[in-house]
Amino acid sequence: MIKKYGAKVIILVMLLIGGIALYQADAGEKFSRFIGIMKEIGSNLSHGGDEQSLEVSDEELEMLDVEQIARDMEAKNISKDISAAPTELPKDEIRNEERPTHIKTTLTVAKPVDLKDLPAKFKPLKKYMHEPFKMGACQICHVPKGDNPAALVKNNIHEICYECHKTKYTKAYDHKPVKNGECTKCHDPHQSDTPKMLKGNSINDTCLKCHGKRSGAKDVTKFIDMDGKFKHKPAEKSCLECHDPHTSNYKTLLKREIGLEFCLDCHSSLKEHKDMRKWINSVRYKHGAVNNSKNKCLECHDPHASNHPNILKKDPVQTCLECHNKSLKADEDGGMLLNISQHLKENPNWHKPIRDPEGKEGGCSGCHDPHGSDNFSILRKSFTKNFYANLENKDFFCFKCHKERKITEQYTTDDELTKFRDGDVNLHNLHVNDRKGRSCRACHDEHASKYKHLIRDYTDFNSVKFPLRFIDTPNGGSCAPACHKKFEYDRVNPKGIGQKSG
Amino acid sequence: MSRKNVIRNLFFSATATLLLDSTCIAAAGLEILYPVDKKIYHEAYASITVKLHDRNISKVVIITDSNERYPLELTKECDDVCSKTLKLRLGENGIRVWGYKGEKLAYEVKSELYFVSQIDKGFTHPPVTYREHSFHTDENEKICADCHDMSVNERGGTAFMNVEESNCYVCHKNITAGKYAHAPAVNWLCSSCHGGKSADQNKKLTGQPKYRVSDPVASACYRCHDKNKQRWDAKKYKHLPVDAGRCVKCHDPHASDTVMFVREVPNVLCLKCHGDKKLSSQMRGNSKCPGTEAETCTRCHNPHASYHYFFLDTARTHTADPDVNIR
Repeated sequence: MIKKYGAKVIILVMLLIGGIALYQADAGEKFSRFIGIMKEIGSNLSHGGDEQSLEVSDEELEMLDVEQIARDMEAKNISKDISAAPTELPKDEIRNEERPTHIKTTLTVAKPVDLKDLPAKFKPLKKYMHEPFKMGACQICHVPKGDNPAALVKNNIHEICYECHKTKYTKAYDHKPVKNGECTKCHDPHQSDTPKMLKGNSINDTCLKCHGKRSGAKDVTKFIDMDGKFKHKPAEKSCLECHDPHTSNYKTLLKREIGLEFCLDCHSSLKEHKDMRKWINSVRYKHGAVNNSKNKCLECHDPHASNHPNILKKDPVQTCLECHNKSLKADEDGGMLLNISQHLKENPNWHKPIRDPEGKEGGCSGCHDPHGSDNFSILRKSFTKNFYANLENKDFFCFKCHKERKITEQYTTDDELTKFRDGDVNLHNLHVNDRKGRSCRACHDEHASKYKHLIRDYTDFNSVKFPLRFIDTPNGGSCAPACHKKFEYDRVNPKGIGQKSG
Repeated sequence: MSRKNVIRNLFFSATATLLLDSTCIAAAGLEILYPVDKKIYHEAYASITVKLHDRNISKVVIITDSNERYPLELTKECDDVCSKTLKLRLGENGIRVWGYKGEKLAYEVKSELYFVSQIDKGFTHPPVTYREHSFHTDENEKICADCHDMSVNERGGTAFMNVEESNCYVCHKNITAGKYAHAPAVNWLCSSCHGGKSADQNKKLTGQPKYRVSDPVASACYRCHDKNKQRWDAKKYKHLPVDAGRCVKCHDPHASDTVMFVREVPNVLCLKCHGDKKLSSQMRGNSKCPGTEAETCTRCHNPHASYHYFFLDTARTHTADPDVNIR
């Protein structure tokens, strides 16, 4: 009989060396299966054979690499595949869990249960099986007790797990089920279609069973809404890209300390946007939320998913108002920033990006770069703080949306272009295109105003606030600022300078 | 002499000292609360405030030197005090206030005021009998405080949305009547200049009255027009009023009918002092001649400062703006 099997083995070896390449391709999936087969062969060789052997398909036999299995048998244990861990992580961060050795003695004491004879609820068999389950070594965990044929060996499940899985999780923060010994909350002790014997259909599915927003789990503190329209790609791929499922030295079981660097590891080399690390460190005007805040990136962005572009926590305006609902001190010059929330509340006419935050160039980020900028007030393009500014050759951010012709045309009758006309005289041009041209902000408030066309109520001139006293009329209006007495304009019946030109 | 007579005599003697030229018509029923007699005015407008001691007075009229009559309306709000703002002529202004009982002239009081000019020769120095008198002292303000809020209700650094809210506006509104007005004045940010501060020429008068303007005034002007100071300081020659810091000599700090709030149109203004440069009528008819209306003085001379003699700027172009192209 030995001779018969021995010859078979030799033939198999010859046949299957050619299949090494194929075997290596999906080693991970088939590996445990092959070990089972090999053990069966081994035990048959040593114990004189047993007819109750595993059924080995021809395909599996073809892929068997005897040399590899022999080496593994010798080593007795197989170290975990660590290639999945992010390469940026320091060595000591890698969870080097030892794969348990299954206790042979248990096997010899009790007769293994044939997979065929397993209770119906385990059938059909799933892709991944717990080794003792696959071996039919039910007795490792179960022992008949009274009426219950499948009573557990010990009262606490985790005690049974730790018998073999000797790695203890003892870092600063433990996942609650780990801490409570509820291994079976995530892992199925018998079999699963998901790697790592997870209960869910995937890693994320397993996590969201408790952490999902609609899970209804009571003792979970952190709920994650992954249904958002915009998803963080790593989060969509696997929670384990950033989190450790068992234990971690960092809060929220992150693999690294929460902060800029954690995010910048990826976000400095993405094709979708600029090199954030370089940008954040090089800009002249920095945003406090990025540099000086507690949660850094997560002050504004949701790391998982949200319904707002760029995975912002709230809509592009509300996100900003979370902090800018009070007067904040600017880091650069110590000046106080406007309390935008209050400003918007007091002034009902809002600039379009604020009114329509999800539109094109919408939200505060339409004009301000939330990651910092070389322009003051972290504006995306240049602007002026002055009352007077000659707009010639100036690349003001206003002209990103507003046509430059609005101010350069001396005469126009185009209502689309500008309605600030007396007859056909473009009063924008009159105010702006001059040696002492006034900047946009002299008359307009960039955020919100009580008046139409975002006309300011007060303009700052020489640190004195002068009211513009703007009055809107159907075809024009009037102003009585500090600059001149009450001047009226009318598009249809010119009242001032337009009379002369007409 | 009865007691009544004594009191009456005292009254008469008091009014007699106040009014040098007291007439036979009794004055006791009327009193000019302000201005005080022989007051010097630096602005063209004077508010004549009259108190009626005799409640039977039915009509009050102010009569000027040139026999212009301005009736004072008696309203319910001020049944014993009424006021009228007059525009003064340069120099002496005699004012008479008549009180009528029915159709009969019952009382008369007189006052003489002097409107001093910054530029007009002959009116720059009032006769010695006239005196500077400032109304805005705590004591004087008490007279008006019953009806008027005498406090400064200016919010620091913010102009009035409606200028009529200003407490100053009520009495002083005429000073911004010109076509062109200075922004702080027309916005009634009075305290930006009228802070009670004084300078070299009126140091003794600090705080008297409360809204004193410094003399020379330039320190107040340069607070905003600081760039001009830098520009002029760099020049070799400065026009005397500029050097002396008396900007208000040519510019009316409140309002004027002329651009840049100058007190007169360029040539007229210049000739107020430089009268010797006045062109003959024949030359004035020639529009190409320098110094005519078309070719104003400022076409060639910089009214403030220059690198060159006579404030000439050799690099000047033909422009109406005196400060263009100054290097």
